[in-house]
Amino acid sequence: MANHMTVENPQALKAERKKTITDAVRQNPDAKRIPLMSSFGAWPIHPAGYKLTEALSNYDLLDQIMGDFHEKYNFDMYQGYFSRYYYRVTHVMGDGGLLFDDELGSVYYLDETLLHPEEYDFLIENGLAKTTYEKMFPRKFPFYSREDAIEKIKAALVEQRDLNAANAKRTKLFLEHYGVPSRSGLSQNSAIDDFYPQTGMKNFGIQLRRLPESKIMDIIQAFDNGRKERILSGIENYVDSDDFIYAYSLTSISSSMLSINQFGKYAWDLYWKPNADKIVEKDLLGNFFPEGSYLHLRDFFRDLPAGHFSILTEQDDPFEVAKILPNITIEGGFPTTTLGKGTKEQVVDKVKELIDKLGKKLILSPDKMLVYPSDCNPANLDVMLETAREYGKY
Amino acid sequence: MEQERQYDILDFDKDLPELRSVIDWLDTDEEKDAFIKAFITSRGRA
Repeated sequence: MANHMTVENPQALKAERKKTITDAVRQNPDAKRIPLMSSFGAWPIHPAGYKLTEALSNYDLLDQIMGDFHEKYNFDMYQGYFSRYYYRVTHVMGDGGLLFDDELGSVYYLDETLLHPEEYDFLIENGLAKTTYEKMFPRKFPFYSREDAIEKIKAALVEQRDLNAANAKRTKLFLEHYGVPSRSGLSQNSAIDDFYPQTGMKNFGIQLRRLPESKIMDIIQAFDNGRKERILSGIENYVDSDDFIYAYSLTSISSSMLSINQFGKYAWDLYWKPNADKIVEKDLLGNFFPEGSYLHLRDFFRDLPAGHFSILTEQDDPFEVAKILPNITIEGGFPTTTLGKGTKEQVVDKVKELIDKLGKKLILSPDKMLVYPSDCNPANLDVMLETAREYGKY
Repeated sequence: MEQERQYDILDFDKDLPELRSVIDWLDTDEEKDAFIKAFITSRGRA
């Protein structure tokens, strides 16, 4: 069992963190301090002295590593508690598509075409579950007979149950023991963001240009699988509490690949805009994470009312974003390259520049998900957080 | 001897009852099917 330090009054701590982050998103001029978000992925496993697969196989060990990481750095919010790494689930399926390199300390996602263009009609006719199971699973995972496949999938279902339970336990640890709110009550990608990895990065762009719009809409409908209605009704019935910062978050891996027209038709009009409107109507908070660069899509975000949304900013210049989209609070901003390879002076200067220029419209965090050992120099992380805590009191 | 990978071997409707058999932590067939479908449709992604 993992050991964790005693935390005094976690409920009050959780309420203070929620208020601090809410103030940043609401762009409250009376905000008291800068909120700090962790965008660390698998990185905390390295300084703890474990190999990736060793730690990701052992959920008690992950509880310990995540708890120790929080006790040392004390972020207000986390992008996740290792929940994105379902190593044990895919491992019993034969490791397809998701590769962990213990020597380099890194995680790879293979770019594969799991859904072939000649199967789009099968998908539209038969739905996502049957198509994924019959067409995509055998391409993604190595199966040597029907019996072999069934045994692997059965083992993976049991692993999935254990993973869900481990993730729920770790989330509860942070909510109840450490007093850290979870990031989002509801999260769901646009359907186009699931089509993208299934068709493969290279093939995605080709198919978007080749297929008629009506066919793409049918594919999106198949991938949607009821999600649009589920999310809208989830936001409609959402009850705000200190347990979650955002009512809803949307991560998009395809937005940097889509043209302005494509993004408008296949993502914004179908998911981003209706969900954003519902967030505003219910006076809640929402978060967007368009991976990579998004400023080519600036016109979509300009009309969102201030005080409801933050946007996790990876590659775009946060100072340019702040000028173009003053209505949206920035998450991120701190260059991961400076965290990993910069000098102490560069770290201090960057934190101060971000606070001076973005002030109360910033949730400070590294601008990338940190995975590789060299992504972060722990001494620089100490300096980043110390500087932010001293300089970021308003 | 290296085994050969097989591709056209799964039938969702036919296999579903057998997959349900391991999900003994849920009560009804509907709950079990929902769990299996959620697993399948998310596992294909990453």
